[in-house]
Amino acid sequence: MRGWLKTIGSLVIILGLALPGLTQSSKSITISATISPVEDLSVSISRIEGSNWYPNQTSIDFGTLSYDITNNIFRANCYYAVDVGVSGNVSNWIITHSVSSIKNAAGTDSLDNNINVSFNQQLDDTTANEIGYYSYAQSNRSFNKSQISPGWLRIYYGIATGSGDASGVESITTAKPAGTYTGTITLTLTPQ
Amino acid sequence: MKRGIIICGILLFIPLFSFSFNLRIDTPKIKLKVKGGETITGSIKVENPSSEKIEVKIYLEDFLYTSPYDGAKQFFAPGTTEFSCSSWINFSPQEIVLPPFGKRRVNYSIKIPSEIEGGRYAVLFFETSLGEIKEEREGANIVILGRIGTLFFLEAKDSIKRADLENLKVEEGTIKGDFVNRSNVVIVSRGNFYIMDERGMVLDRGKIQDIYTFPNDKVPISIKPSKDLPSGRYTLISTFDLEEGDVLVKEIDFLKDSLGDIRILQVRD
Repeated sequence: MRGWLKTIGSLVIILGLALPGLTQSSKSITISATISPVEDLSVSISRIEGSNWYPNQTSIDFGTLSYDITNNIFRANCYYAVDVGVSGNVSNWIITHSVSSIKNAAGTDSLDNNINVSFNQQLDDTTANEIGYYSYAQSNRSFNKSQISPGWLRIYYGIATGSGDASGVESITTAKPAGTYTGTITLTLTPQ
Repeated sequence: MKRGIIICGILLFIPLFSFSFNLRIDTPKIKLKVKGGETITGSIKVENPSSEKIEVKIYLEDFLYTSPYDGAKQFFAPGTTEFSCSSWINFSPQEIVLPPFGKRRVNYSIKIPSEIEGGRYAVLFFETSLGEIKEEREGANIVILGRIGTLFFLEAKDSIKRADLENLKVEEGTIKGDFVNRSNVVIVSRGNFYIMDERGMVLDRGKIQDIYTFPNDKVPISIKPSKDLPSGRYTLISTFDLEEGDVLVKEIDFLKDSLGDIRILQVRD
């Protein structure tokens, strides 16, 4: 009899301890996640010769230009595409394209009016909307998120061909002194 | 399931084209209400999310908003503009090398002078280049630099935003005017308008362009009432949200005649 009483007493104690947990049919579990603020700029350069693309270039190097004796102008055998990607979750952003003059070593001549610059909203590898076409000299421009998204900014740089050039762009003639011409393009990403 | 999530994650982060250069920061804007004499410290995380090592140069410049005042900026040497706070900011380090997928914090300290009035501004740039021209060769060679900026907005706690809409006129069926920043702080305005007839019925509404201004900047704005408005007398209510609870409201009474011409009758605050 005492054994039974002990067993029943133990069961009462165990159930008493376990019951509150068993009777609670639902329990809230807090889930939390933090998304870090981020603003990301990505840039790549591709050299284009005919229909062949050569990605991962480190600069825009038109090399030695060839002289077209028919039209008496200098031509390049390539042009360049610079892809500019932005991703961010912080705010609206703006990309500024600013250039320094492409001058020869003596600093006496420039190619600023001999290069076309085409800005494009690139939607995929083959679909784009041109959002600006200027001479290198006039290519200090800004583009905000609403002009580029969805997609990314692709900028083409090409030596004047004498046909279809941007306003103010002229072909390179023998009047231009021989030599190396160098310049800098700065792509700046800031919040709008 | 887990492998599926990982593969999806990888696919989401593969860009459509192969990048040669990649730079990321976690603090594009630092906006603070400050008081004279205080010192503020913080840090900005800089990351290299690419598989190539990058060298990052860090430096300060001034900036001003420029035409078309949609957030476009012009950058200047530090300490050369009227509203610069470049000289108040110290940071370290000034150059870093980030290994593939590496990250580093850049610490900054801002020492506010004992007296501050209005707003002071600067930008801290994180710059890297894709490469250098290694040899002298004929032709045209252009180096590409990429940089991300953290904008600093430091404004006195008691600064007041004041703006006005001036030189209102009508040109080719469009109401035009100048939004003028009359305060001593940067004003970002997000505007909208609605047009009521004499019975108080709203017949037209729309958005006014977002405007980014420094003190004394004057930005042309235009509001084109709907062509469908019949001739009559109307009130255009334009509201410019200047952020942080500040608002500019202008009420413009105008008359549209039977020929469709618009004439401004009265402007009220």
